[in-house]
Amino acid sequence: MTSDTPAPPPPLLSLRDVRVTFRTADGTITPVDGVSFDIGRGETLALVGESGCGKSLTALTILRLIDAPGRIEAGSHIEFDGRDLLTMGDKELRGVRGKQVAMIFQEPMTALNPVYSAGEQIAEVVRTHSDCSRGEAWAKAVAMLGAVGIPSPEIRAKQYPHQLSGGMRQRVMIAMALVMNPSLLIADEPTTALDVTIQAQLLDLLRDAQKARGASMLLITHDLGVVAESAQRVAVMYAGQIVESAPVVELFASPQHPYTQGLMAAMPRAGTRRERLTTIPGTVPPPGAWPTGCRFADRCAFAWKRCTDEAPAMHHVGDGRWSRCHLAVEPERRTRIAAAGATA
Amino acid sequence: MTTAMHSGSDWRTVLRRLRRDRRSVLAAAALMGMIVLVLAGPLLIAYKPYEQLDITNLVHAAPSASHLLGTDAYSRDVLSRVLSGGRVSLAVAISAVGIEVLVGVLWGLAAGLGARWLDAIMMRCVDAGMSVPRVLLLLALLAAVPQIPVWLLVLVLGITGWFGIARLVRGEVRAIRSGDFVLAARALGASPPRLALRHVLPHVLGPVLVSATMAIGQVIVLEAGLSWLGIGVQAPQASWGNIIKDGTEFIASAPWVTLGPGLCLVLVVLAVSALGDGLRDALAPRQLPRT
Amino acid sequence: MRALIQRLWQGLVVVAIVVTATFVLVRLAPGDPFAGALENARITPELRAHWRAAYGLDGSIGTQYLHWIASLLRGDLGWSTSTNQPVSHAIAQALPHTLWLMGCALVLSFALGMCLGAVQAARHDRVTDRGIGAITLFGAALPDFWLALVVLLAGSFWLRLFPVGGASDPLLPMAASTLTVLADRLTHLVLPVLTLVILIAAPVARQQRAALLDKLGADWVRTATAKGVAPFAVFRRHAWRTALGPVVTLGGLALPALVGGAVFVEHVFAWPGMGHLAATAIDARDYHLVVGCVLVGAVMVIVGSTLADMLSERLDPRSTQHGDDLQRVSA
Repeated sequence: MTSDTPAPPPPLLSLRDVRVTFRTADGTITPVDGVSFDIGRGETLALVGESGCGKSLTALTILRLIDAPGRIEAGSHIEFDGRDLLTMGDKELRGVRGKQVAMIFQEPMTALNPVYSAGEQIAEVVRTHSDCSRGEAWAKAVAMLGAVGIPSPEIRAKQYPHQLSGGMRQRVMIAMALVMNPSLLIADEPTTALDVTIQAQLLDLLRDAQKARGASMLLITHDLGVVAESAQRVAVMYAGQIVESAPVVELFASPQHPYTQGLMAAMPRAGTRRERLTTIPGTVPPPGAWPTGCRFADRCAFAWKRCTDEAPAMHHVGDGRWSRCHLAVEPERRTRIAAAGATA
Repeated sequence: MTTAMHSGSDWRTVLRRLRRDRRSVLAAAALMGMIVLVLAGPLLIAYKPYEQLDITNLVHAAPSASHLLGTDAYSRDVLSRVLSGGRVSLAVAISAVGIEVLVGVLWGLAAGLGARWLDAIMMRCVDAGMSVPRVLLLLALLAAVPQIPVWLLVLVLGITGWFGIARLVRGEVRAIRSGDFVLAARALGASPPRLALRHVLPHVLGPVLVSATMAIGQVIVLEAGLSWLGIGVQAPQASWGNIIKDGTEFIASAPWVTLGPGLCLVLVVLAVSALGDGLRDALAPRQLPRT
Repeated sequence: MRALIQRLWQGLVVVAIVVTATFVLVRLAPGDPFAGALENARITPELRAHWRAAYGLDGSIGTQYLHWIASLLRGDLGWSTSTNQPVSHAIAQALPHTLWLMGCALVLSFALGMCLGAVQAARHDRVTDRGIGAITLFGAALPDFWLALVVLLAGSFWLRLFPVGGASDPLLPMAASTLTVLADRLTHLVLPVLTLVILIAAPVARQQRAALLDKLGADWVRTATAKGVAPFAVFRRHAWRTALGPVVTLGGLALPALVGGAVFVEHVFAWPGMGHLAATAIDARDYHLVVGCVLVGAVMVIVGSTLADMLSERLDPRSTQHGDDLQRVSA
């Protein structure tokens, strides 16, 4: 008997061709240019890239947090749990924000209101999305603070953000995000502003919370180490586009896109002795001046004429693997150039 | 290489931004226009500001084609008095602000670069200066002098107005002193005086320029007020303030004597405020969000 | 508590500097205070010397200074030649009128200014914003004495709705009912308050707009929106509330200018307050009265801005007052 593999469940979040433009004094720029990815239920997708690649903006777009002079261009499509987030009415969207999709921001010092206490800000989420009384909301806030590992939560809840350390403030942000049991968490570089020891603790906290609730997570980061720890799938962003996406193990084992390869090579690894760190030569093109053709071409060791003339599409390069590179259709060039002794 | 790293832009960029801002261009043009008018005034108008034209018939004549702003109690043409007065008012304002900037910058630099105790004393004096209402202080200083020469007026206006600039400069200097790049400069061997001149001063010039521009508007109104009270520019020298003073008594019967110079004051202040705003925006543009 | 004491100490230091400076000013005033008053030949040199000693003018500068401080502490600000009474009496009569006028004006203008600024920020860059912005720009550019004259012209002479000056009608019968007296007082109050409100509300609105726009761009506002909070609540709780502190602080800083402006307004409307007193003292060359007004004015401003600072600290818990009670512990 042939076994029917059941159709894979529909993704929880689906972005298609998302484009964000900004009108500036020097012209219109497109920092997010045709981004597409999916996140399944219970899955963690890491969105990786250097500063300026558009990953934070992509995250903000999901909850329509882009303000003038930025705008989400027509033709972008974001679907969450079967609902269209971009054409949804404002009231309905507010019901999604903080309740079904919650965001954790990077700088907890500025992301928290300085004149209200930690407890009040968490209670605000509760009271916005439910009919709880002030007392009930406060109790939930205190409970949540305890759940994210803050000792003496009753006391901490009454404190103001400036009285808390960086790690604690971020825990408050996480508590604020988790308190209504969202099915999708968007974490925008949640640990970048903190030191490494706190980073590990917070990532563990996030992972456990996520698993306990069966939630999905979009984790934005520039740190490949964080990716390896926390994500199941990775999407690499460069110059406003996704250039590679793959399950995490495969990505680390055999990166396909030259940019990803460069990132991997640039990571200092314990155990190897090196004189100099490997870098990717050149710099990222500014968002106002995207070149025609592949945006990575001028920094790519493998580039040839086709790369500067024609922008590559996303090509399927394996099971659940995609790469935006002409090498995907002309793989023999990779071995030829590598053999010719060019630095890879 | 005097890049104003504070705002991340150099003077050429600032000028370019300023030129692109319609409001600033308009304001600058208006100011230029006014200055040209008051300087060229005597050439354009037939009447002299002190000339009593026709004491029997032309006293308090309403504005007409021959007298655009009418005549005053002594049958003098108001428009020519306004233009002549404008020269004095503008000159006084600009010179007084010059003094303000000089004293303020020096005081602020000294306090910012000096020892803690010196800084504390100097800043308490600034606090005291800022606490006293400037008008009252000016009254106290000028009321004792029977006939006030213009240079004294300028001096007194200047020395009562430098406090804000001093605080501004001192704040910037202190901030820069503890800034990383100063540490770097010192690590490279720069000495304190050189530090002050090459690195600190250029940073401060921008905000000081904004303050000075706004100050022109404040001072010109102050001088007008003082002249209106009788302790500013003295008759027979016209200034916008004392023209209004002459007209106050007859405000119901000949309002144009008061309204004319007043509107000029408003115009100058508007132009100067708009220019100051534009300068401030040009020095520190808004940034795009993080990507 | 500690911050309060520190604040009071700072205020005291500033007052001390002002007192010293006024002392210098008084001594610098040309002429012997007794030369004019004692032209009378019947007053012997011994009497002159006695008066000098009594006023402490015979000692060294040091003793004179101490005399000055002592007399200030006694409440003796010298003699006013134009009103023929002690300076302190003249000021004591005038001060309540000024406080009454400034009080009404401050409350109304802050209320109006903050509303306008908030509306502008909420409707940023739209017609409402630009329209109100043009009005406040114009309002902030108006010279105080000139606006007072224009308001007087329009209100008293053209519209004939309000009296020409003073705080009350001197011809009102003694037996007039309280309501009549009240109505009379109010009509006298309208024009000067209106002038002050226009003068003060304009810069307050501009400042409020700037502070709100600045706070509207803050990260925590974005967090609140991301939490699903309704737009008006975001505006009120996260932008307006955090912009309150700076507005109050700036109000305190603007007090000196306010008091200065009041001088002209009072003079135009013959409002019997400190400003009018100072202006007429100048005309009469009554130097001690002028200096007395300056001193009292400065003290009023220092008190006012201290209060404003304290209020602004209450509004922003980041101040040390709240902070030093609770502990900071690392995560």
